[in-house]
Amino acid sequence: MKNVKILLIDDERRLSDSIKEFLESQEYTVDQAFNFNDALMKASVYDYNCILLDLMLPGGNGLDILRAIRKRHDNTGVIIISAKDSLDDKLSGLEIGADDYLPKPFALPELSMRIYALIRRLEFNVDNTITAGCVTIDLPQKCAQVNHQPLDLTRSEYNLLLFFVTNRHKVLSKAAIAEHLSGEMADMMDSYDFIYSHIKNLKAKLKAAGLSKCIRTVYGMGYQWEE
Amino acid sequence: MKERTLAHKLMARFAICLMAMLVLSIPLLYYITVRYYAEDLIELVSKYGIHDPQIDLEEDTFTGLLIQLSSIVIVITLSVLIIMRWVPQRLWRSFRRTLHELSTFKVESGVVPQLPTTDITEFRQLNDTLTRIMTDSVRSYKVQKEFTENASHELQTPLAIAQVKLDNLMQDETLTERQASEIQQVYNELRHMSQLSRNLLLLSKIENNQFKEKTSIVVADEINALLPHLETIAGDIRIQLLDDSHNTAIACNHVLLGSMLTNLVVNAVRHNKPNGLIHIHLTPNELTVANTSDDPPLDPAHIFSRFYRTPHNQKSNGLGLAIVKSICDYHQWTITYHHTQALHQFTVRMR
Repeated sequence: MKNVKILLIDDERRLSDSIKEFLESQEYTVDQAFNFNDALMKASVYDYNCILLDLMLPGGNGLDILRAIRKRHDNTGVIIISAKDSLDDKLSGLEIGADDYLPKPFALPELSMRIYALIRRLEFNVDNTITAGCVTIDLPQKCAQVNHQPLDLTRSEYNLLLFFVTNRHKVLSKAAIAEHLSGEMADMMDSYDFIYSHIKNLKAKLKAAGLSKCIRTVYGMGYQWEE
Repeated sequence: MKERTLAHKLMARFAICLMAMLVLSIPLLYYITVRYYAEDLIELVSKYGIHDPQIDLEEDTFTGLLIQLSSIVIVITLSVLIIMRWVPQRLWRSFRRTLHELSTFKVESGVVPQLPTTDITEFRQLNDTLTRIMTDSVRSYKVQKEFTENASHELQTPLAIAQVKLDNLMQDETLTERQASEIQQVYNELRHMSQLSRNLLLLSKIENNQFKEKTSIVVADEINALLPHLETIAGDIRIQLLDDSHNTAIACNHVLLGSMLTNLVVNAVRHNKPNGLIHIHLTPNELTVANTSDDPPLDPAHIFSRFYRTPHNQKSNGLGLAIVKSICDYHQWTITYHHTQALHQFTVRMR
């Protein structure tokens, strides 16, 4: 994917800058908007592949921006990022045409993975595969191959592999991995140790397919995909 | 007790009282008739010494009296019936309209119904009071709702900022192992703080009745949707699901049901033992989640209290079961805890 442009609409500058920093390190081009009018102007004048939309904005409701985007474009992905933990907003957001909803606080690798998956979905409908080194992931089929050898992965292992590959070279914290694998259940657990066995199994399967040392343990923090 | 309209009851009581009073007044009427109307005739008979007269005054008086009385009773009863049939209907019309408007009132819709204007003082006062109460509750509901949503926003935003800063910091390749480990711990604390604030807000939202919307939900589907995530966190714990519910649907709030199920199953994982077992049994009316554990039986009187921690468990935020209980109360379900056959069992009766 080349030159993916993202519009980040969030009034919280400190948050916005950090998200921008992370996404730019993944070769995305990120524009920021900090208030309603600015956001509405940018969303209606420029073309973006993906818009990250906070709902509580000075000067207006983010849902109105979503309406304006949906009137104009059909091919812009919209992910609502909101700290307002309100089901009404989630439902009306998805109803108006948001593609995804990510409640704050979220882990940046999780956001990055959702953006990646969304853009792939919008651009490649049928032949949607990701290649990372000798690993190929078929998104619609939810299966993976190493050197054209199919891997027999569990659901968790597949999700884990996809999370690693879409965040290659990034250090992924145990918490981010745990939440990615099991949603809100992860935070109810006393520790994130349950991810060990999934990572161990995935490593073993990759190794059996001839791919070792691609998942590196970063001591004290988490894991990292290296090619 | 049999329920009747106000007009009907009024009419019935009026008729019964009328009858009773008329019956009671028979001696009085008899006395009046004999002493005043028939007095002269009786005097004449005794004065002129008419013995054994062909006229039977006593009996005639009595019969006449009865005829008079019954015609009065019939006329009055008929009038009462006719008047009561129509007059209160018209008088109570604005009251019934008020009742109808009230029945459509829902505080979460935020709309105060327009009560009808009336020229009856009591009804006008009633309508004024009701309008004031409804306006107040709509306003305080809105304030509460906004407060919890804003509180959520205000709490989650700093947590979100801190978390993304750490996400970026973690990518720094020059970090030492010790720094990395410290960052990881701060990160985990942030996640727990965020979880804690979400849980507290959920509890306060349940108490403020902010989950009004109920839909018909097949509980078995919800449990099946949770299973993949549950299996991910369960590790070597076996999960058995016995579904005898025949896809029975239950009217409940979707968000709350999801939260209750998640809390129950995660609880069963957290307190389990290595190579343990989770047994979920669903019937049309009941859900039982049972788990093996090395912990001794819990105290049923306290396990559902907020921030309750057993000596064996100091790690959790102590809100999971309080949320489950609160959701059960909200739906008027009952939850019970048993410790049998070395299993900790939670049973929710959903009807």
